[in-house]
Amino acid sequence: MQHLTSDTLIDYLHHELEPADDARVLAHLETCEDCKRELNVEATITDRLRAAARAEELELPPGFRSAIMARIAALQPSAWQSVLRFLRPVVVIPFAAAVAAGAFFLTPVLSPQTTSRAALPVSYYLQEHDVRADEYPLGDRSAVILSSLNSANDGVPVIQAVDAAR
Amino acid sequence: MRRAREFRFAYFAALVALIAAASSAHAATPAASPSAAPTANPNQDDARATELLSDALRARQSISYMAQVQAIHFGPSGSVATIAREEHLAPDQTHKLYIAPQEMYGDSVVIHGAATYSYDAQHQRVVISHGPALDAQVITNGNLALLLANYRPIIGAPEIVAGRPTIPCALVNRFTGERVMRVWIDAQTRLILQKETYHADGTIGSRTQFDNVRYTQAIPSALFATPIPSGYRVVDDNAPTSKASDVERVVKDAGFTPASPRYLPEGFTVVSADVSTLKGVKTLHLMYSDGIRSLSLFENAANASADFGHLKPATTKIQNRDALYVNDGSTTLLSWKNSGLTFALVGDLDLKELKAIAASVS
Repeated sequence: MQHLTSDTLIDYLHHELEPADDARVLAHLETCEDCKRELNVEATITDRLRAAARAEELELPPGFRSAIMARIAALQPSAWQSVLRFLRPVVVIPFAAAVAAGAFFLTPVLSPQTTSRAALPVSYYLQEHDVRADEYPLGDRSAVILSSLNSANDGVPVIQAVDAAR
Repeated sequence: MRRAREFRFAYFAALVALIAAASSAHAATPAASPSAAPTANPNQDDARATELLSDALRARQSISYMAQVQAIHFGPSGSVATIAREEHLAPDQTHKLYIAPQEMYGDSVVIHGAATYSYDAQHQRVVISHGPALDAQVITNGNLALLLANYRPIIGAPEIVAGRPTIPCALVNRFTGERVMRVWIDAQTRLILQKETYHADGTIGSRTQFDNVRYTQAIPSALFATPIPSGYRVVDDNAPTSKASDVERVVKDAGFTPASPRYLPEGFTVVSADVSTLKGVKTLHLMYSDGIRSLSLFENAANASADFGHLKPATTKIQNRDALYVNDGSTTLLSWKNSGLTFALVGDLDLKELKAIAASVS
């Protein structure tokens, strides 16, 4: 039979094994004197360490904890400290991500088709269409391109006539 | 105005061939018959109407005149009227001086073939555009073929327009039965002296009418001169445009995989394409027509939206996608984005029809 390792025994001693392993170790200890002896050694060492720790523990003076809490409560952060605290990465990064996501998703909804890098004036489209349509002698566009919609490349309105029967 | 472009005429060829015999026989005789009176033979009536239209489309290439031209566009929120004095020296020189409305008073346009000089008095500048040297005869044949494929010409009883006897000719859509246009053709010169367009509901959309027309070749050449007035600046309104011999070639020049409509109204077909670059944005322009009505689809892959400027576009949806549209008289511009492309659809169709076309673009 394979004996239990020290690590397994220590984990067993501190109730840190999984239930199935715990049961398996218990069953083994009932039949293995060597491992039981080793377990007792580990248990003795643990007891001695705990006893030594308790012997060295120092109690805080009476009122020490309450004095610290009272001083913390008395301290009010400055406005700058509040800003710095707000700008902590843990706050700023999610906030910036939320703003970026909002801008990305909401822009097309709030102002569709108006925020591209290079917008082309509608006069360009209308003018191109009119020119082409006018190349047909009986095309239904005739006489005049409305000045209100007409503009040159610099955006200044142009009054542009188109020959009606060309 | 950017007119640097080339047509794809290949698709016209078949249609042109259908009417070649009729059109070639009388191309140089615009003053010849037919008479306006209908006959008992419908086939003869159709042939006369076709001949009449063919002559009318070519008349300006051989007829010179001076006239006053009045144009009215009837819009849903009002009408726009212009009055201009016009001198035309065949085959391809035209001078037009606007005298109304007030904001256009003094503006003029001089056309020399494919070059157009627009004098803007208010802003003191001259906008110059140069189109390709297209063969007018080819254009006329192609347009007439497409026109006759989709519209039936019906000759009406003679009427007097601008003091001259004219032959009215209605154009009825072969698919919908709607009369979309009437033209009044000078019985002698074959010049179109009046033109009316109609909406789908039958109401009038526009009227262009000649007054005080006088046929003469004694027109001062100074009218067709194109000096740059002192203090005027010149705007060369030509965007860099790719030139290609066919639509497929132009599409390749676009530099992106374009989309096209799977649905078009009856009779519409692609008639031309070009790629122009404005503000660094390559824009593909596909033009569709049924011979009278026209439709333009613009698309770019640069996320360049339509800038409506001071206009207040209305919002709508195209298959749950946001879209904007604005009306310019009877013309509607519809703009939307889909699959990385930005589109603008321009046409004299109603919004419902445009949205159906837009929804089919893929």
